[in-house]
Amino acid sequence: MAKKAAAGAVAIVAFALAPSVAHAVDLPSVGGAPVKLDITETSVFAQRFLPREGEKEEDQGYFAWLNRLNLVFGWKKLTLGMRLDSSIYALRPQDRIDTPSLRQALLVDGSTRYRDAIYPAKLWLTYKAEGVEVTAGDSYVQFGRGLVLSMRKVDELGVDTTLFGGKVTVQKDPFGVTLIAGLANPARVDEPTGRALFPSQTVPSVAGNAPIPPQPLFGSDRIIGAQIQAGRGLPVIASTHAVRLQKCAPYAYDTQGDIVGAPSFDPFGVLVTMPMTDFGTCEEPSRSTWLDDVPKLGPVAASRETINAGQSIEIPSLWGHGSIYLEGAVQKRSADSSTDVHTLGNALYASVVTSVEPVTNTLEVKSYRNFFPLAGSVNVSRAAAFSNVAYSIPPTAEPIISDTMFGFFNACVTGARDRFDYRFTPTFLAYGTFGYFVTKAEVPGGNCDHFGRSTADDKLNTTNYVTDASVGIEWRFDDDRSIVFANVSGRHDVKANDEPYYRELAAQYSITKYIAGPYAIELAGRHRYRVQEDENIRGLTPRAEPWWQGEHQNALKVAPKWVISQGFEYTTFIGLPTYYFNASVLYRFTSESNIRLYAGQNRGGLRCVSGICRVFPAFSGARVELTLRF
Amino acid sequence: MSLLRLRLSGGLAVALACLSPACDQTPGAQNPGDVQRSGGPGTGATASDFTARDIEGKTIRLSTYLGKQVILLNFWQTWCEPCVAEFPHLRRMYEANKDRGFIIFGVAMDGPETVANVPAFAKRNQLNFPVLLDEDSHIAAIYNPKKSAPLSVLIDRSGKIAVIREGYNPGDEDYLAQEVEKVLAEGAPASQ
Repeated sequence: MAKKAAAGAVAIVAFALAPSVAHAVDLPSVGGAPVKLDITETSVFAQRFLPREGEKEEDQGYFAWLNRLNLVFGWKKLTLGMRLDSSIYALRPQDRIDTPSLRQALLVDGSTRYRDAIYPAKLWLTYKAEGVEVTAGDSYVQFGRGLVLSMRKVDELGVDTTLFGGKVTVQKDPFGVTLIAGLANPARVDEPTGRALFPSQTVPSVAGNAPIPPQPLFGSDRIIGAQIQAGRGLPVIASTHAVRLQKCAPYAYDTQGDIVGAPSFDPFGVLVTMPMTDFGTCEEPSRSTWLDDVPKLGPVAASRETINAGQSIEIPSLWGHGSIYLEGAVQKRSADSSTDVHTLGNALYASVVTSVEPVTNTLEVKSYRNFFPLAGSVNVSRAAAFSNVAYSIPPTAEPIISDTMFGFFNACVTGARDRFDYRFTPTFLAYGTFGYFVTKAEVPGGNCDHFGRSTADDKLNTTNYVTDASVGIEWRFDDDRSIVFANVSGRHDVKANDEPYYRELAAQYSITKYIAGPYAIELAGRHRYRVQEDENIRGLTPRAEPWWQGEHQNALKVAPKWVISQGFEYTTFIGLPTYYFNASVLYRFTSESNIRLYAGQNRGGLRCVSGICRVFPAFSGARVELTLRF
Repeated sequence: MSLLRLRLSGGLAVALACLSPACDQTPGAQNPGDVQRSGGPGTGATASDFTARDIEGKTIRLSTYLGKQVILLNFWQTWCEPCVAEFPHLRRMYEANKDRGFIIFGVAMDGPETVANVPAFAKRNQLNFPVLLDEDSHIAAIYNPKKSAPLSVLIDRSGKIAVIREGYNPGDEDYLAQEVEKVLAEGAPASQ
């Protein structure tokens, strides 16, 4: 496997660096019209080093080559696209660690991880004509501000969820209609962990343990929806949208709970045959058998069917000085059990933008009551890396990388955030933000009903008051070639019983200084002082201790080809290594294609984008990232 | 998705991202890769059409401009600091060339969580060209499947992609200006 990966790596790099790289061109005409081909190729080769203190043996030490090949053909009004993903691993923990006491655990862990595979991750055919767009296959889709439906790509978290089915949009201003139906199709391979969403491999019998047969990890999530818009191009735009999510079994099960037939895999681990049905089944007992296996991490995950519906009104231009957006949504979940009485939820979201030189102001208000994201049916007990698969993303009104909304913070919350910008000069801008939120679902056990009343047994302990604020500047100089961004921020999260839950002070900066000719330098960093209930506890001391964490990077940029950087990270969190060092070199061989070499260490931990969070394992190793566009 | 890129995402973090492929470059000698897509007018791939809403609520269809004007699609997100750094240069470029058949479309790739910030962001960055909303990534799926920010796609008058330029570092504006000037000077008449 190592030879195979190495040969592939050499071939890809050699191809990329070859002097006569293929160009994106129109292919020979067909039927009198040119056929266009666009290619975007991304390859990542990574060798992880052995685990450091606090890191897991099974997360480190392996080699991975992940490849994404995007092909888009265009002909007349048709576009045919495909993304072919592949992954190849070597030095997997189960292949190199012989410790008998670890063997069984490694095999179980490895049955859903480090899977050699090549598969069409996305496939679509789109027809576009005046006012009409029809897609068969994969498509991104979003209704309103994402309260009701949002299936899209969040690269920073490896999230790439599409709807595999049909999407029809008819647009004739001022009206527009969108109809969708299909299956949810999330990315199947998680690069940071090597975890895969394919059915698990058989775990052989080891040391008297019974073998474990293949198990599916992702269900057949079926989504239908519609959106009707009126007023496009007019001063007021209204949109009505509704979606139904239905969770079904990925396979047919017999009454004993066994999959009827057995999935078979080719040598690369690709699923070759699927038993009974290609797209799953909603028949019983299959559906119940599957859903009983899915951990009930939240109300939507536990429910067989969820309906979201919403209405939005937008005034996109207030005489050129702002805009208003208002959306209300309701959620109805099928009851998970007879004791599940709170199956209704609702949400209100509004944003108001005003601008009069030299001031701009953005106010966001949200009030969500028992309103949850449409979570996918993932067996997170075996594929936790995919626990953030969801088909709706209610706006958070928080900074985009905020990782301080814990639990189901956003499911039962009322609050607002305001950002005020003042431009003192054409090159100097200052801003301040202030947010205040009350949440009843951040602490485990907390939630509320559709009136916003807490349903927790201990209401004081599960109601949090959150205040945060920041001030910052943007300053340009050197004829706009140098720029400074800097801000300081603080967050205070306290429970209704006056116990502090989370506090943070942070400073961040980014200074780009143009030197001369092709040279520029950049210094950037973020430093945080944090303390959180039940976190960072030393020994038997019941009191959480504060900790520092942060990062800083220096870069020298030599245009147009090179960026050479060096950085470090640190944390004083108990049980983790304190320092992490890294360096990288980026070489750009065309304006759109490049190769980047990276070696060093990164902290692990919780990371969030737009309210979607996941835990990343620490990285210690070397990697090559290759991006080619033709 | 790389851990480093993740760390680099968002707010300040995107400034660090200038160490990543999504934003790097500077001025200097002619970049041999600058005209990767075009050996002259009309030799790159044909640009695909799309329809999108701008922040004023108007519907924009690219084909209205394809084959008639030189078009620059500039992809960005509100938390992208290199994108902010590039804007003054794009403003000047647009102001200097808009009467020569040149138009810039800013494409905001912000999703539902940050799209509320787009109008104010455009105002405070004094963007003087149309800004399109791409909340569901349907434009990015065509031109920028990796969702790099910033990323500029220059389309010549014959409706063909002349240059794609990823990232921004101080001085890159010179390269982009040269490319725009070259495509404008070629002045191929509309052929569609």
